[in-house]
Amino acid sequence: MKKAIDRTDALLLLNKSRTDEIVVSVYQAATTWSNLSKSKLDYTFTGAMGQASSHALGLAVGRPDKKIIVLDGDGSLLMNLGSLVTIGNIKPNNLIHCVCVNEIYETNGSIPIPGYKEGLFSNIAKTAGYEKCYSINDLNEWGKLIPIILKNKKLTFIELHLKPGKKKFKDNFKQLYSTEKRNVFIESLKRN
Amino acid sequence: MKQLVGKEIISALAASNIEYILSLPDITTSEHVLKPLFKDKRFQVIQVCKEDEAISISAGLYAAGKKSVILIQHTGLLDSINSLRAVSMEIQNPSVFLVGLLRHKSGFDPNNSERYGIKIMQSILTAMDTSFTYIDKNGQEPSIIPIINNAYNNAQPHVVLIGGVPQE
Repeated sequence: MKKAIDRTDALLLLNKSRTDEIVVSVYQAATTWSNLSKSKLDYTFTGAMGQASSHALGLAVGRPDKKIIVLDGDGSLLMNLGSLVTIGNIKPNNLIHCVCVNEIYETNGSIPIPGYKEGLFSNIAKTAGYEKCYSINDLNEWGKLIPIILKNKKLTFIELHLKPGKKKFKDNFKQLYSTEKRNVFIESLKRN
Repeated sequence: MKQLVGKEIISALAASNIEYILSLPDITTSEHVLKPLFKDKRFQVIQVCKEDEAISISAGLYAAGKKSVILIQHTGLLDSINSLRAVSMEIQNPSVFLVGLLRHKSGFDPNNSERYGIKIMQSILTAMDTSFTYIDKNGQEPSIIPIINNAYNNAQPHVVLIGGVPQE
């Protein structure tokens, strides 16, 4: 098996460094993240598969004073690859697009995603106009990178290689996609 | 019957405090709506590669306190039905669409169109409980203002179907 970081460990590290950044997350990353983070600036109501990066672009353009972190999925991003070009064209310097690569549709029966090759996403992102691109599969490297990307004012892309966390969290998409949760997010963002 | 006027559509957007136009070029509105919008300093045009991106960008902008409209072709709306279902309807986002009906002629009922994609448009929106308005003649442009205001006040989507090529 290829080298990858335990998802819970990776997201715990990110959560430890996170202050007032907006975090947009999907599927397994969202399930894990919502069990680790207590922030009201977590945006999980993306609705349709693949759309996280586009929601994040709206937030990044609308609130240039805030840093936006997207925890996207590899299968998800394959459904919205054009968003890399859209985002690279706008080039918001407050957006960190982190695609969690596990090479499977984990929520939908762990079927492999088609045609993945190392660097697939970051190569497209780089060509599309993302200014900083990384590929990470080691927890120590990830820990060193987090403070750098949180500080940088550059459109950033990370291919983060993850494996399912040892700790299991139960999916609750009804709660993740709730309109009430979205409304709480909007009110919290107004105050931040 | 006088044709829709692009400048009057743009005036309605400005009067509704729209700041962002999320668009993929549409033959119906390209010349006298989208092209002038690129030059108009009151708006920022964000070009998308696929129409469902626009629905999600609009939702992100709304969460950030900003108003946008989605300027696309009806084929793009058909391609984005799942996002309309999930992002606009279920999560309740004020996605306001200006949708050109490709090669439809003003003065004709789209429900009787010989073009299958145009004929089914209103039936699909009705089935989805998505509110819509059909405009195809001059004088109807200001109706976009209350449509946008209602959408944002109630956090509900609305589709404006544009049934003729707006003139300069």
